[in-house]
Amino acid sequence: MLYHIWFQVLVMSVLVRNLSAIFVFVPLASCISTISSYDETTDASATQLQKDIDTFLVKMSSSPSLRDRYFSTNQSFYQKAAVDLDSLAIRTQSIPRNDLTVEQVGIIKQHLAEMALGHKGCLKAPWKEEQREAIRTKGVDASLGCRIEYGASLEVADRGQSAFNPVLAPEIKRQFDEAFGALLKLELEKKKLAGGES
Amino acid sequence: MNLDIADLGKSILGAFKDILKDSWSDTKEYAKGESKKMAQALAQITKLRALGQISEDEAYLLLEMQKNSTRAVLLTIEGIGLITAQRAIDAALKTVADAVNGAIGFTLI
Repeated sequence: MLYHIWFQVLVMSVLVRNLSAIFVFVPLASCISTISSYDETTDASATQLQKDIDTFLVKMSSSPSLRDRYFSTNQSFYQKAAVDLDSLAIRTQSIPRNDLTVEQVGIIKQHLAEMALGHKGCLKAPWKEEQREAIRTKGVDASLGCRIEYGASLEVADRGQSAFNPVLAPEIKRQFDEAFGALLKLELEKKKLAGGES
Repeated sequence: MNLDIADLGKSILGAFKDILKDSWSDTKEYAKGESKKMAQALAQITKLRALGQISEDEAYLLLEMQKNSTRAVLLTIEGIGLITAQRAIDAALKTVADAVNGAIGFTLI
């Protein structure tokens, strides 16, 4: 009986020691790789989103009809782009050591949120820090109104007939292209690191 | 008033260099490209405002977007943290604030 108890204690102590070794080993191993691996879904989703946003902005810069540039006419674009960006954000957040890409998706979400507010004429310069924070945390307001909780400078029920300024479209396109370009370049670097295409 | 893009770019690059000095050899090429893009964007905003094609609110929107786009580019450089990137942007804009604000006619930066 005494021998049996002694044996159990011995087994337990060996197990505890090995588990300690595992717990020490796992964090060290996870520190070796400092950046996430390449993600094909992130690459493809970001490329598609950039295409959708570019198409919208080309339409805004070239459409002579005021009605075609109303926010209400284009509300479905903002709704779809916001959903697509949320999916991309969730995807990138689920990948370990992916902080930089997560941050870049956040910047693109900010771009879209700011473009939507700008389209509705909801932003008055200069912005307050609380507005920037609201834009960062609340994301895209695809409703027809201006809502302070989403970063608007004023509360207005319906700005659906606010038209996109076509002169702004190429400038905003440049901003989206730069942010998407940075994200895709980082993915490309991860792919190179993994020994994929160069 | 037209802004000299080359001068703006040099000022911005100088500020990037001060802030990113520890990783300058790795980040120099990115910083060069980005300072040029930033200078072009600021000159374009100023030009569009001077022509009356965009409002002050729209100029401000473009500047905010440019700051975030620059942050996205800096984030591609591993090892450059968000705080360092923000410092670089703020310092870069500070160096050209007088020139841009003077040219555009209101406190954009």
